[in-house]
Amino acid sequence: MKEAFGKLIPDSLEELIDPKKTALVIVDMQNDLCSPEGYLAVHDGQDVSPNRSIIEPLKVLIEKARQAGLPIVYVQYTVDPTHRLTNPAWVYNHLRERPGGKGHITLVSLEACFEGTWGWEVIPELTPEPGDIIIRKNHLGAFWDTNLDKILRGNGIKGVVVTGTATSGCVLDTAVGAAAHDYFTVIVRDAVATNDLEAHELGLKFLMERYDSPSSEEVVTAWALGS
Amino acid sequence: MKQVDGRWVEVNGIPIFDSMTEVVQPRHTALVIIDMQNDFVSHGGIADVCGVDIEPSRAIIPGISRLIESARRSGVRVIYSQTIFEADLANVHPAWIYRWYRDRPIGTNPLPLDKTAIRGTWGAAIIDELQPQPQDYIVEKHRNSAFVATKLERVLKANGVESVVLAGTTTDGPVLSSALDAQWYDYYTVIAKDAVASTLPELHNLGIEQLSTSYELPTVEEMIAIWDESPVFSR
Repeated sequence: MKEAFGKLIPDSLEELIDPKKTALVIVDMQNDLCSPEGYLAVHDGQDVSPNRSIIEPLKVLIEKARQAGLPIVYVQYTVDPTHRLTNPAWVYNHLRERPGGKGHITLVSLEACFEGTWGWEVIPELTPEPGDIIIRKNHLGAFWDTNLDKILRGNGIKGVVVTGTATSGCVLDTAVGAAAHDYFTVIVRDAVATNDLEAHELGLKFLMERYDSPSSEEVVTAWALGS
Repeated sequence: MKQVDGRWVEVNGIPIFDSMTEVVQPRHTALVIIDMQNDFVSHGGIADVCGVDIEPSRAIIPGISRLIESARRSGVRVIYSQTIFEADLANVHPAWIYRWYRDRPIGTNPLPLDKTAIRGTWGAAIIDELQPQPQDYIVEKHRNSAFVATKLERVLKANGVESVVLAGTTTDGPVLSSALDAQWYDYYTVIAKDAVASTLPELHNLGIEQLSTSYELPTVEEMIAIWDESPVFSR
């Protein structure tokens, strides 16, 4: 660590993602968003292979994180089927076709990821283990109206390593939210995905500009050195 | 939820605004001007002194000025955000310091944190060209988003605001972060496309592209046209 303005600042990736002070956050790796039988594939006709392409790096990250003693946070997008949590402004902002508008308009926020359903569950390849932290979120960002900040603080966590889907949506909003809550924020550049490749590129470029974005291999190496 | 001709019109019994004109009606709209402060925008400010090109940020001043005039004429609530750091950086977290100085692929930040937007300095003040008036509201902020640990949300709620129009700097930083939070607080959120700027065109374009995935980005002239044709709301 180095000192700046009387405060201690990480001076290397090992220090930035120190296993004793860092959590691995896995965003929205759920059947409805990642499975060929899930909502995005079946209802929206999306090719979910981009989201599936990060399963292997995530498996390695999760295994190494467990070995190094990091808390594992699984974030699940959770839609209320009664729509009592749905606000008119949200519908306008997100579900309105507009000239020059980009991104795929999906009704996933209204019609999928209902709590308790198969589609809402984390994909079987990445099933959480007892002791993992499960966060149900109703918005895109994992810090919004959830107890994630409270849990991380209670566990002495100062930084988050963010992975999952979608790069330009829930991952980006979770990263911005983490930074807003004063966490050291890191993206794993080969463990984030969006099925829309153009949106993924855009989101990743934005994230890499704002946050350190090492590869999963670099992260695993740093954890091994730091534990 | 109710749909008519493929458009969502109602949620929980509440109608959804159906056009930009409805969204930005003066009685329920606030114009939020983000971080138009001397240190970021003015000649002689710290950005300028450090060799940052402030011309992209200066270029939006006339448009924002017209937007503010139109907002005041029509009764839109005008709010300014102002980034403030304490001289001893007591309100700055180590994670913020780390991010401030880290190398970045495009725009590594050359500004010294302890000489930027320090409380009580000329550099922290809102630029002369866009001076707030007594009826405006100034929100002091200490992070990127104008909503994080500020009074903004309370002020919006207290004034019956349902929609926010954002302008200012930087497109990919505080403007984008504020836009995300405005959405999470369930405000109709629009960004005046030609009234936002970043120091580098590449960063500005990145911000605009990312914003256009989930926000409407009308031009200053489009906003003014709507406000000038809307019933004036007396505050």
